[in-house]
Amino acid sequence: MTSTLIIEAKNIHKAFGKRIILDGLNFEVPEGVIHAICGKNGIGKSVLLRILTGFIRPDQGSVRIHGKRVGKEVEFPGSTGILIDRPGYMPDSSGYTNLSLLGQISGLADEKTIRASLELVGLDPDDKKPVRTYSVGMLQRLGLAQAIMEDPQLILLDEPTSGLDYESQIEMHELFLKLRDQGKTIVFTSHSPWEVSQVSEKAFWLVDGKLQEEAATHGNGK
Amino acid sequence: MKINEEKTNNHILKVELRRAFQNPRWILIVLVGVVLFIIGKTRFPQITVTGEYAINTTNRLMLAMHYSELAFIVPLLVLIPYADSLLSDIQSRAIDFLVFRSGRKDYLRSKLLAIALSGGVCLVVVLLVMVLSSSVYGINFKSGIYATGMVNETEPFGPFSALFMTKPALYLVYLFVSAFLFGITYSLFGTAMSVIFKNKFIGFSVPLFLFQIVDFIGVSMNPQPWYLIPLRGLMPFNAACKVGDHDLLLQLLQYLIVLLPSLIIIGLIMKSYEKK
Repeated sequence: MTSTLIIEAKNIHKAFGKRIILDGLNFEVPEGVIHAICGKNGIGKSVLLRILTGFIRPDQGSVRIHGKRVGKEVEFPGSTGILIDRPGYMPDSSGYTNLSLLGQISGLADEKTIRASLELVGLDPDDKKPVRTYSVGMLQRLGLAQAIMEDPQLILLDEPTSGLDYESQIEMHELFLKLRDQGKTIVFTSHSPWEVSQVSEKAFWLVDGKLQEEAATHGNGK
Repeated sequence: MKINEEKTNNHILKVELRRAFQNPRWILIVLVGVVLFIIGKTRFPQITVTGEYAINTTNRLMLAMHYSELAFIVPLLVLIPYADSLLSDIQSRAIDFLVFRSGRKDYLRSKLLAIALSGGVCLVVVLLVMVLSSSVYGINFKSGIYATGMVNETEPFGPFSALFMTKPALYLVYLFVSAFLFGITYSLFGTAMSVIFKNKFIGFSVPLFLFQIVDFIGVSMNPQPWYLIPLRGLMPFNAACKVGDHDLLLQLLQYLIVLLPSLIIIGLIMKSYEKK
């Protein structure tokens, strides 16, 4: 069965100074799947995700998301929710206010959907505490709510469960599967083989600047 | 419709204006206006005495501006409402989620507009508070001689000075417009310094420091050159009297000398941020 490619990254090269991070990397993701990008800390997973999201431009190569070339045809990919590493917020505002301001920019998330997204990730929409008082886990949950609140087709997540306890990780995995079942495409980075086996259909290991597809994953999301 | 699709639903300007103007710092701005008036009134009690010194509302505001510490704190004052927000967005990394939805250019344009407007409106609010505070016995715009509280009482100096004698209400409008432009200029200057130094306290002290240094150097020269009178834009009636005749063009030029480098600095720093 052929399905539409949501992500097409071709021949991506990226170096910082003399250090080559990505070296001719290719990556394709069809719609409606969960794919994991794995690798050791500092190997370049976050750089790859930042290139896919349009925050970093590759030295060579092209990224197409939903058929549009990122950095050329569109500055940032459309219909995409992102959770990048160390997500940042307006520190003096509550979680709800942060998401509300972001939702107002796009005009795609109203009060109802923001509240629903916060509840979905286990945060209280009525919590008035400023974000600067949030724990790492709460910030991560807020980032996830931010990524899904506008109902994007593609969700790119960098270490989405880092900082979460075991039960919370399980809850998040269930959320990913639910989103996948709704037709969303999810790409996430992880250094945990256990996590990868829990939710992803395919896992890719970032080795020597290239992605190598793992022979099989264990859980296959079921 | 989905997120970010062709940016057709980009409301970043509305969001930035909301962030700039719906924040509690404006209470502080109003309080500062009241305190400044009290300082001016303490130093020159006749500010509110109708007829004796200040013949009209415009004159009373000019006296309140002159005798308060407005001139000293103004480079800091305009930074209070929102000038730290660009640095704050960068340092907190909130900028990532913002630009992802708005695009970098729209974000920067909206941010600078919101900062500039907040700086301009900040000074207008302070002047308005001073006008209202000094008009406890009523507002009037009678024509007459400019009372300075000093020896040579005559018409004020600077652009449109003749308006004071004939149409003081219009001259008051000119003072408000001047203050608005001054606020725009120095709020963006403060923003530029804050992103250069990556520290809002150091960055915000730079305009204050330069303001004082430039004025000190200018005062030591005789005659004081126009470009070394940093207060020209805010209090043209006072600053101009140090050297005599000036015109509006020089006043605007002085704004541009501060404004253009500030915008260039902000643009370059944002460009370098984009490349990271």
